[in-house]
Amino acid sequence: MEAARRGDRDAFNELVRATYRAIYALAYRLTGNRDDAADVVQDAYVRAYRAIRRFRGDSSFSTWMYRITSNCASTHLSRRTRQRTEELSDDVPIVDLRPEQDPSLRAEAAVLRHHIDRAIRALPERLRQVVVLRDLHDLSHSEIAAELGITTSAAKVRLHRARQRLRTVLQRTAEFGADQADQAALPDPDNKTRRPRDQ
Amino acid sequence: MINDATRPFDHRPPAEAPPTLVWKVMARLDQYDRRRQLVRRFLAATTLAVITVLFRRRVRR
Repeated sequence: MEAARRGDRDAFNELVRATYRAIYALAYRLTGNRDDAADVVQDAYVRAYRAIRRFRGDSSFSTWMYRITSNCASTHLSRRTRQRTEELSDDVPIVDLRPEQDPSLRAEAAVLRHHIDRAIRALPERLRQVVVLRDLHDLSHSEIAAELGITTSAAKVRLHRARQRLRTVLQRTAEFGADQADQAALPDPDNKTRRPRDQ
Repeated sequence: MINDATRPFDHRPPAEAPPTLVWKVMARLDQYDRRRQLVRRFLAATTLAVITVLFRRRVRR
């Protein structure tokens, strides 16, 4: 890692060989397409190579790469959405009936995504980490435990609590609106009741 | 026996990285290194040219 940070290309190649499978799996899950995933992986490694000197080592290299890959995937997907063109054949109805193109469904999905983003951001850091690593980066419980330096059971407990909290916040959002839900998200009773072995 | 080299690409689980990907990544990094090298050389040459011009002007005065 140190050698790669100093600009040693061979050391960086080793890091690529060690991590590209997991990075590709994440890119594939984020893009849902093999070609896009391969493009995202290449972009992510070039970005990482450019920024490796600024990598402080607060997290592991793979966690850092996951973050870069998520950013690359979102850039890639937004670029692709802007550039997307499809040819119309004669038997295609003029009105696009596909559910993913339905403006009202897309608006609903955007609102839901916004609420989920908000609810995740409102989670305490230690709960947010496990949700992001599990549900976005698709890491296993043991991988999350290793990444955060906690036990596997602690990772499971945190994930359970985080999902419970998200469920409560999202239910409140559906019933009373976002402001009430924020009030539900603010207090962190887990911090008071947290047992030492859950650290 | 099917191994990484003989298994057809389409039979892979979709989330499994194709073995050629690592070479594509290396090629992109090589390309980035080459471009960076070219930019550095260009900047060095431009700087040298500017310094030379300024120096000659000064000498002529």
